[in-house]
Amino acid sequence: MTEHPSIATILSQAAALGTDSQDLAAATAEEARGFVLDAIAACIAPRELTILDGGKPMLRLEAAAGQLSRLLDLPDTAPAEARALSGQPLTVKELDAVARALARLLPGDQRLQCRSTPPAQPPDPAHPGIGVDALLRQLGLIPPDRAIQDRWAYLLGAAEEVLIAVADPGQAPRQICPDRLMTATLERQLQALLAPPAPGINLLDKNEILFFTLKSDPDMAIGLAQDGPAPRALVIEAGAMAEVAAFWASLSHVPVARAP
Amino acid sequence: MTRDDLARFRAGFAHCELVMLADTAAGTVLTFDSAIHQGQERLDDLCATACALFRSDLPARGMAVLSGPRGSRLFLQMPRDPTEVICAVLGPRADLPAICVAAGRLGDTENMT
Repeated sequence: MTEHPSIATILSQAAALGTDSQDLAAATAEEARGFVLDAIAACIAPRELTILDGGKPMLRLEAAAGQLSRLLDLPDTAPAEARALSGQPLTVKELDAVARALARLLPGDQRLQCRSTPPAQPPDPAHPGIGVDALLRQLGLIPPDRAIQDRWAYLLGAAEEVLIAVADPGQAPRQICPDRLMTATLERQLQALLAPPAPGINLLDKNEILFFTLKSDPDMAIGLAQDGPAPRALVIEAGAMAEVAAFWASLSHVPVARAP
Repeated sequence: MTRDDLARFRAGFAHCELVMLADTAAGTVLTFDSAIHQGQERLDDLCATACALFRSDLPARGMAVLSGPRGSRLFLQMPRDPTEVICAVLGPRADLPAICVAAGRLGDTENMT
């Protein structure tokens, strides 16, 4: 099996990352490591990536075709074995040392930034580098798409505190929060959203959710998703809508720690 | 609201690729600011989505967000004239809650001027 991600995966990740320099308040080690590995995975053409921590350069590396090809600059806090690799083309033999360095430098609770520039010299094609999947495994992480079997159920679990109701195709809406009564108007609206021709479903791309605040009750918001050919919906407090939408958007980009 | 207003707004947030003001009554783009050049088709698509959200059978009013692995598209109706909608294209790691609050303020400011 190859370590190279498919071109579709690389293009999709590159599109997701946009064009600005990236930054992230990484609360956890998983977020911090996922941020750097995502940046590496998004490099189609060779790029030099400078990772800043709290505005100060911490780590400089080179990536191409979704692989980490060289470590260029590491701080004194990095393990000596990784600092010794500085400037050398990387192979899977160095996987362990590189993963240990990333684990040391990316403990979480960091304000990270990634700047991308063209490399001073092209990478050596004879040394393809280390794949992001291998680094994830070595760091004890699982890509979110593999770790989360049912994204919808995962979202419902994460949004439990602000969840008011859930509606699945062909079933009556289920009230989740006993304190927020589902009005007859809301029930009718949910049924109209789920019944053919299901207004709104054509707006959804794969794995997208459409969240919107309700005309009839501005304190409530609906999230509409596609379940195969049919839509399904959740009702949440409107004040939590942006946070739940942000959680859903980030879900594919934060790896999950493997169970010990 | 001018292009400069949108540019200042966009500059305040990482992962904010594009901000646009659409007139959903006429189905036209009024002004926009973006990180890179955007083709008219892309802007028209965003405008058509705003129209579909707020001028259709959907029981939506105020704010809508289309959110997925490639990021989010935010749509906010202006309080003064709900036919005008602020649209923003955001990366998956954008601070969506802060951007929503700021977009609301931008709409409120416009309301006062």
